[in-house]
Amino acid sequence: MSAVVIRWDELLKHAAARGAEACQAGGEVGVLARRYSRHPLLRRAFFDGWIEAAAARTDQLLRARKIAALTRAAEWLDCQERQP
Amino acid sequence: MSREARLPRLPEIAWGWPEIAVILAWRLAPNGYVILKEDLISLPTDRVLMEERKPERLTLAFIPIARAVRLMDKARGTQAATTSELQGRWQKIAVTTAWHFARRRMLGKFDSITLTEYDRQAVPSDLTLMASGHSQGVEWRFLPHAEAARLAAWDREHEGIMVQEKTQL
Repeated sequence: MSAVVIRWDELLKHAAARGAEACQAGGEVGVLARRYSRHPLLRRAFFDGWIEAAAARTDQLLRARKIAALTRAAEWLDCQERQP
Repeated sequence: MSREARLPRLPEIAWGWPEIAVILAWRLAPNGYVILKEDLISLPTDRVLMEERKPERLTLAFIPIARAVRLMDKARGTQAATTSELQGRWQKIAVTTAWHFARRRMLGKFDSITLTEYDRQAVPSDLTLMASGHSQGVEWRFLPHAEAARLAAWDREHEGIMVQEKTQL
């Protein structure tokens, strides 16, 4: 008898952490996520990490830019999910 | 020495992930199913898959991470589970398929499913498992070889988005 535990939780956490880092560093989230991974699961985790980091930023000066970036990101994700 | 210890040890089930994916598909949805984009990106973050192989059966179960850690404890000696990352195309297909049905409460107790040689033999040898990509996801269907070959040929000539895999094990 053998048992194997197949894990993806660490991969997702790692992707989310990279997304949060990318948010701090700046750049277009769509391009960054696509560059990070081709796998939709990891890309989504990266995106979620980016969103969470962006939402945590309360700097008033960045507020308008944040809203614009979130809108673009949501549009990008929507576009990705519509692709065949 | 106990009687059990004297008996020859049978090898455990050695199916590869393509076989497991096809057996799962036939057992859970012989009429086909659709994996939506949402399924592809929604594997649980608080659970992992345990794959247990025995000579007569193979069990797949979505278990909490805490239980997985206990199973991997070195103190269990030879009974300790090993660990692996989700990898390979067919492993991803099989795990995504299993989770697709687990979300719909179609797996057994504790979101687990046990496959045996009976399930493997039940997969018809005259059908082909076909995947076709759509805008909303991927559709999996079992089709007769001739029809599958015709569709695959048509698709190769046109969009090139259909993948053909044989169910012959």
